[in-house]
Amino acid sequence: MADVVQALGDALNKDMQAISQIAQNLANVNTPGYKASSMVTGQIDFSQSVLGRKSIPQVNESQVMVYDFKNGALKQSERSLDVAISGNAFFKTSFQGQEVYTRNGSLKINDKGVLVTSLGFPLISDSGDVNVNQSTSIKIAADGRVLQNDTLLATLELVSFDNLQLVEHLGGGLLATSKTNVKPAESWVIHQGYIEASNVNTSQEMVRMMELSKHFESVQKALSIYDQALSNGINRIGQ
Amino acid sequence: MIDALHIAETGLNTYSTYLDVISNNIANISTAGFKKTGVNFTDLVYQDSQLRESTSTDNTNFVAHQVGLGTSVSSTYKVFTDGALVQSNNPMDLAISGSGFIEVELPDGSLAYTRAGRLTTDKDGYLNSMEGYRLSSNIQLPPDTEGIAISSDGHVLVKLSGDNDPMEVGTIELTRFMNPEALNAIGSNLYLQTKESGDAFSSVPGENGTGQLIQGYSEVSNVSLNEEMVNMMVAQRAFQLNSRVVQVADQLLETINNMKR
Repeated sequence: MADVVQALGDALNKDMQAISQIAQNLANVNTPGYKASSMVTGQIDFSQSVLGRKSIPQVNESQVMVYDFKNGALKQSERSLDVAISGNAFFKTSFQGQEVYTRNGSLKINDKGVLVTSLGFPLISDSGDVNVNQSTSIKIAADGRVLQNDTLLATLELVSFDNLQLVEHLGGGLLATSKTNVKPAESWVIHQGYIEASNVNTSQEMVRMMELSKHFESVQKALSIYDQALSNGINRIGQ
Repeated sequence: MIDALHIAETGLNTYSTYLDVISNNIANISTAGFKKTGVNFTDLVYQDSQLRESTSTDNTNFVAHQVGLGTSVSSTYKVFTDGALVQSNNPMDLAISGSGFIEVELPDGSLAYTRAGRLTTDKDGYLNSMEGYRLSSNIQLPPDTEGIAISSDGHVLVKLSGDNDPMEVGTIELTRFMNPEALNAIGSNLYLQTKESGDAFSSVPGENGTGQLIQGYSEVSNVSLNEEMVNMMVAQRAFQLNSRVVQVADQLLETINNMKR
């Protein structure tokens, strides 16, 4: 009898986690390059009991997070160092010696003249860091070439992943994954003077939130009723 | 207890900061030489859920099951696009047509930089910035100055009474930074150099991208009202969304509290 309570309790926990995920998406509705994620609710399995009968429902433990990597809208920006990628590709940068990846193209030039991300990590090109001569502005071509006064400084190396779901999110828009999952990106275009908006779909998130809160209430009702049934069973029938 | 509450709280904080920045931009819509502030947002660190290990046996794989902890303002920066130039017919007004700054000396001897080229003179005849800080090029106008002309490359010429030929009294230099976005704005249209902004390069106006001086014009603020209004709507709606999440999270907690009556 505790199994039903357990299953319903699990369902409540899953709902709470899913709501947290929605909160994360909605908090980042304005973060450039942010990719929305949603929790796929664990399915209810009917596990076989010892007697071979269908028995107690259990919430499957392997609940997974699914990231939505579709491109966000490109917004025009006034900064010449804002670059957006259209297509399935990521900028390569390094964080504490580890290669990490990002879609957030709010670039800047640091005090040493190196092209860095908005958090200050250097972008990696075919020739390592991109060193910029301070006197004139730079142009980043659609194919990733970084030009200054029509002189080629470096070419940015963009990567993509074999399996987008096996990517770890480090915060700050940074992604990490194992080396074997990384491959050179195909078919992408860089737009200078644009920034990629967050791809969170607010109406979808709101609907999902309504769904979840109502589901939460139903589960709670089920729990109360089951509790009442037990109470009746114990206190009335036993009288 | 429930992460959603705290995550939504970071959203509320972030978007109210965004509104602060927008209101400062709008408040300074007619401040000469004012540069609008932009905001960078970032997602906060992700915490691994407890289900992490159970879903993978292959150690080369990362398991994508992480809930983030919200959002924050990662940095604010000044947007140094040129503002529109407005003719003022005041010979002491200087506009800069490129990315240079005029260097001034603060009372404590340190240097600051400004884009507001509305010059004044002090009691000794030295050229000052609008707020009364002396230009570090130390240009003194003679007491009997009748007219002043400033060439696009910074030469300051004065015409003295009873004299036909103009006399050069000094040169105004412009200063440029590798990363002007990182300059520290201290108010009164002044900026201070920081480690991130890089070294200050002084040069003759017109060289190295510093831009030329234009006499008789002043540069207005580069704030665009349209853009700020759109940003304000975005900030307000994002704020509302997050407050809605707080409500829903609160409802969930209420549901839990009512579970056993």
